[in-house]
Amino acid sequence: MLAYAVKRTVTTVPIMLGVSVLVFLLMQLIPGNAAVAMLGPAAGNPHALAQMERYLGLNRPIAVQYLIWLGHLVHGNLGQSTEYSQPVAGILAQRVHNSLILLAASLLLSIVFGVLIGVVSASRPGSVFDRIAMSACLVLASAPTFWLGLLLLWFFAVHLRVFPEMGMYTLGQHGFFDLIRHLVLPALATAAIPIAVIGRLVRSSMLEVLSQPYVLALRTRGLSTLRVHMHAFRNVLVPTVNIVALQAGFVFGSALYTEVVFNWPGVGLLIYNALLARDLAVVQATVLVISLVFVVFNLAADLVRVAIDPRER
Amino acid sequence: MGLGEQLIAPGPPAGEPAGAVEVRSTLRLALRAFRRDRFAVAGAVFMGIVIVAAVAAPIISPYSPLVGSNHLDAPMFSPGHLLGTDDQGRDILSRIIWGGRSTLPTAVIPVIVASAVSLLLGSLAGFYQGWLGNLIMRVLDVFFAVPMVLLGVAIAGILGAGPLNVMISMTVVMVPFITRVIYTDAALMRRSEFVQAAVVCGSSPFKILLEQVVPNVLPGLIVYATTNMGAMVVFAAGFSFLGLGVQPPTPDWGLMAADGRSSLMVAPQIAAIPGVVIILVAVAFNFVGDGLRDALDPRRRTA
Repeated sequence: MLAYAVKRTVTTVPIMLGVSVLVFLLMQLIPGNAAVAMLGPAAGNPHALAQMERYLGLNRPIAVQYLIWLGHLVHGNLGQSTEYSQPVAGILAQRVHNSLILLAASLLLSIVFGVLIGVVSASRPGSVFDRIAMSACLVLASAPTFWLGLLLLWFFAVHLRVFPEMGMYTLGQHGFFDLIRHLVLPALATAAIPIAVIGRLVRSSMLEVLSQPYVLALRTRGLSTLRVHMHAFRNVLVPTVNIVALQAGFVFGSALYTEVVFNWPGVGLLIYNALLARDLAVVQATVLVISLVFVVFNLAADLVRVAIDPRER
Repeated sequence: MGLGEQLIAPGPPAGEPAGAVEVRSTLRLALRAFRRDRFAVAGAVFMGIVIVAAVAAPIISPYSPLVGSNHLDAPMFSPGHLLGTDDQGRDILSRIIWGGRSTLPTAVIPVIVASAVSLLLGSLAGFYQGWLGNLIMRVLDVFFAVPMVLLGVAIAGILGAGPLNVMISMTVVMVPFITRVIYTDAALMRRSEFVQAAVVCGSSPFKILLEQVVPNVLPGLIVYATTNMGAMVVFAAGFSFLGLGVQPPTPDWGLMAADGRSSLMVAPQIAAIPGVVIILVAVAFNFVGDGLRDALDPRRRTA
């Protein structure tokens, strides 16, 4: 297990480097180049443009530009935000923290409700609950995240007024319960689609396991349904961990929409505002940081998968 | 069945006139299997209606999708406005009908382009493996390390708002996923007996790739692409919501749902209706994809 863990951890190094190249190349997509983007109308002045290009290092070969950028990265320098006139790293720290709260809550909801719906549906296939839950999952899995967010916002915050409409804290408050009240709707909106996808997969995996001879053997020995299901669920864990890891990628991305809908001050809202302001250094750094967090998350998921499935070792 | 038996063309069974033997081409078998799947047929019919409505929009839409009236925020089933009107008094049904013209191509074109690129990359990587296959698949691993929505939004955002840039970005984020599906199929094909037989017969690798591998990965590709067209309708709506896609006042389902945000307090149906249309279209694509999966795979086809 330890040998595998070390080997798997080492493989993330080239992936991380690859991600850094990809994110660096993203900036080459800027129409014109970064100097034109920064100068705006002043880019018409060839002297100013040349000076800005020299300042940004754009006159050097692209490979050298990448290495310089990577060197800054290693030293924690993620670039300078034009909109906030501050180093990006400082802006990001608080935003990443806020987003991680939302991501953790969404993943928790996805796993708990997804597994619950899947297991209950599989225990009585064809029942009223199973049919309603599976139809709901089919519809939910095809719904746009921002649209679900808008509906939740309208129903719970505008119509019923049980949850606050937006933000992370009520002005002047910083309590834990205030945070939870603000967290419920965005986390639910982000988790809705993964709940549907995980629920459907857990149901079908569970049904497959329940049809196996060893389950029949357990039943003939007179074990209660609950005990039988507990034995069966152990074998559903592996596909469940796989789908959770896949859905985590979706959650990491789609939280962007819920952050915009609910004005959650995380990295998604930061990217959205940075795109509007064409503050591209912020966009670049945010994509990089989220991707690196995602790589580490995938590593953890992989290790969990191997830990619970001895066949993988 | 031995090789010798295969070489003898089977004639009509004794006692039956030759004309009575039903010709069962693969296409006909597939079509028959598809027709038996009620959900797939329902999905296909619904998609047909949506597409015809979008194409015939100038003829069938009851109102202009752009010109408003002073009848603002009318609820559903109002006289003259089946789905009501939006905050500028524009007929929502008309905008839904016209919206298909913007939303459907935005979702379908990237899938088709990405499928073509992936067919090339995936079958090359899967069939040749070696350094070329390794190179292709390792580069794709990097794409998988970036959350898809985030990468898509970043690409479209940096390129600048507009439907073309959204389609470019959707194509780029789809290629890794489709390529992996084709890669898996092509790698299996490489070890199959019919490919080995072709090698023994002296076919060149290129010929095998073109004549054996590509036709055999196509069904899987068609199924995956169809199912994903639904997901791409949803994805494209997300771009519109962020203001990266088509710009107002163009009728577009995603943009309509996003615009409904401003009248959420007074008329939530303005945001809700386009979302329901998006879900219905996505589910329809899913049903059609599932139907195709069963129809195109002889092992799943119930004769």
